[in-house]
Amino acid sequence: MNSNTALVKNVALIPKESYSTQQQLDFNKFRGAIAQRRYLALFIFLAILSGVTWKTMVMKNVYEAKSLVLIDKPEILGPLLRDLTQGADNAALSALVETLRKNMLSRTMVEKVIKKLLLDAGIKNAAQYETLVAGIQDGVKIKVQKTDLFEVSYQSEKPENTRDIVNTLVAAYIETNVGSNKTETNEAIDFIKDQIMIYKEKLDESDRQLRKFKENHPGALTLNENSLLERLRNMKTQLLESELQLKGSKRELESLREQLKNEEPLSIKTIKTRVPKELPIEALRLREAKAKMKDMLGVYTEKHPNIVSLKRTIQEMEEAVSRKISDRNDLMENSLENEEVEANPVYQALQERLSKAQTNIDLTTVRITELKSMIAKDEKRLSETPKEQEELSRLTRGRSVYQGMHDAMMGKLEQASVSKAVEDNDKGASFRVLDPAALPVLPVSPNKIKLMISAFLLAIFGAMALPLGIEFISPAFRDIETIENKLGANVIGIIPMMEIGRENRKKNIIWSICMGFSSLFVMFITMLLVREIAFRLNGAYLFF
Amino acid sequence: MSRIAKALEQAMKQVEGNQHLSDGAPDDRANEKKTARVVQIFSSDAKATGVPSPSSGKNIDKSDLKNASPFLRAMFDDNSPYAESYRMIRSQLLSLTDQNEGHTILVASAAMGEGKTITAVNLAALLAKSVDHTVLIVDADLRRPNVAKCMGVETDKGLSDYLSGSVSDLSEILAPTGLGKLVLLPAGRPTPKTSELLTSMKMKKLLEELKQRYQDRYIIIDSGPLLAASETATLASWVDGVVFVVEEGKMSQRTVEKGFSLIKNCNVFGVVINKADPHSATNLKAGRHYYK
Repeated sequence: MNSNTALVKNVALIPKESYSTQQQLDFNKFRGAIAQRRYLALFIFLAILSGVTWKTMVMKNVYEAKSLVLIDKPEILGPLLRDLTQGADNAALSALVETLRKNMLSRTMVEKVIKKLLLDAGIKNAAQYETLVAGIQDGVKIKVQKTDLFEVSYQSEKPENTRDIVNTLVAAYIETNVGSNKTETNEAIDFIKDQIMIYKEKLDESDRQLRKFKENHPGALTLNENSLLERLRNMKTQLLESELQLKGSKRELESLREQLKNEEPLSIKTIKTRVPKELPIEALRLREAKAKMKDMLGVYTEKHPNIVSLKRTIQEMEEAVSRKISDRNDLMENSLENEEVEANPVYQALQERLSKAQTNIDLTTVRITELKSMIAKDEKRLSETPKEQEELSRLTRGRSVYQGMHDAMMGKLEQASVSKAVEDNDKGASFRVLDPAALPVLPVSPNKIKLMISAFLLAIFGAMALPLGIEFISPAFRDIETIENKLGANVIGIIPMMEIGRENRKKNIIWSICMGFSSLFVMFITMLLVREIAFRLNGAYLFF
Repeated sequence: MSRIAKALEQAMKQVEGNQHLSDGAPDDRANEKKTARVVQIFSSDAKATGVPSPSSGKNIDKSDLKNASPFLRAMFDDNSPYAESYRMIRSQLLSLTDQNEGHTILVASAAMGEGKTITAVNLAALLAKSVDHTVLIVDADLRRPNVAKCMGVETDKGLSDYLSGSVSDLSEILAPTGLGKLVLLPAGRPTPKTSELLTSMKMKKLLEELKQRYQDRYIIIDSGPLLAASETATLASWVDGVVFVVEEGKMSQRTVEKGFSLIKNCNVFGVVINKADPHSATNLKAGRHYYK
């Protein structure tokens, strides 16, 4: 039989020159693999196509609305913009976007939008509300196109919501931003006013304290150290002179007393009682006291204690003098010419001089006492002057400070008022909506055309891939070389497929029916695709 | 006298005995005709040598194949590429088989449904159609016998009955096919002992006797699938050669290789690729060659 086998090998059943190219053979091999599993391929094709198409059709359209906002006053964006140049730094831009996003998408802002648009109408609990807020915060996109131009966009299944949310959010942001500036100005004004009140009270308190100080220390205002020293010196000089004068007067008094001892007070003579016409000695004393008063008034005020005591003394003297004069007058009326013993004129003179001297001594003593008292007071005052001055300085300084602050606050109040007036006239100049969000007509996603075309391609790929995959995993014999190589036996015949008989007709009919339905289905899908394309072009569905 | 000669003698007697029944049913008359042909086929030499020998017989035409499978009918269409393919195989086999040896051919496949029965029948028919050969086709697929159905022949008893001993005379089970010099040995009644019967010594002896006695006759044996019927491999070792049938693109290579491995030690005449797709690689090549 080996010779028979060799004979077979020598028989060129199939000359190799007539072989097709390798690619054609491989293509036919793959085609055969798919043809053998055509029902599987068709099922895969229809399953993928219908699945993806159905999924695409049920996907809800997502619409997007955009609004373009111009920033008129870039300085409101803070120092970030100073760093932005022509080739803007990405980090700075990112920071700008982040700032805008945080400001615009703050919870307060979003809640404002929700309330304004009544988006929480169907919300039943807090969790749903939170979801709504988070949805808006996540859904709003902010893109900076230039340093002073940014775009706000939002996507949603409802086109009206999309437009309304964007426009309302932008408007709310602009309104809040401008309003916050106004609020700041008003707050500043209120603050300044409060400060003015405070400093006014402090100023009044300071005035009160100063006034009280002045009342308690009257000399502190007018008296300074130099004048005090001068006065002290004068008083000491006067004291010295007074002491000298006192000594003189005492010596004179002693001498007069001596002289009086040697004289008799009376002499006999018939005389008429003469009423002395001279003024009584009290009058002399009064005159001297008044002169002294006049001197003292040149130095002190009327309220000076020495002046006051001297006045009292003068008053008493005047009363004494008036009594004396009235007595003398009475004496003059009742005087008789009789013989009597007359006063010794020398004695009288001496006595007068003695009285005068005594008066001088009294006055001088009083003056010395007063001078000493005054000197003591002045010296005490002189020692206390620094403290008073310090206190006075403190009070004066404090008042000056409060006055300065008060004046400054008043100035600021005026500035703030002006600023507020300027802002009131300058409404919304920071932001300007260049392009408000319009009602979107065409959805941005899903791209149904792309998806459906992808469905077709995927279905075709799947229909081919699975049978080929099965063939790859478990290949069958489809060509002569493989059979001869694998089995080690020659191929002696190839019997073609014969399609005869009722069974084959039945198979063909079934396959034709399947293909027919598949074709109808593919046509239907194609119509849906055409419908989507028309929608994209015209904005309206042609059918269905 | 061999069993076949005896069977033919009995057939002759039966024909002679039933000749007067001219008013029988059309089927009976047809069967009679076929039987007469069998007798005619095998009787021409019987008188001379006592051994049935091939005779010219009547040419086969389509009218003889009214009840046969359309696959078989196509064999007799001269313009059919299908028939041409089988003619090529026939030529190969004639080349491979010696005049006096190698006439017992087993047609096998790895799995069922690959077309070995049709291949066996068609080969047998084409061989029988040639002038010089008589053919006995044996349906050894006792589990799913299809040869008789394919040929449009009604049978009752067959090989299983003979091997089991319920039929002692082989002539009782040989059936005319109405295709000239082609005789059918059908499978017979179903039996649970298929493997035992087919691998029995009786079967071996039968094959040997068929080979030795009718050396110029071709015996085409249709068997069960190698991977399902263990007896097929045994039969393959008893025959002169095996024709291995593979359906293109149906079974995995591993399955086919596994089935083929069971007969790799036997004499394999070659592989027949069956049901080749018109546009496939194999048929593409075949088409280019065949229609040059």
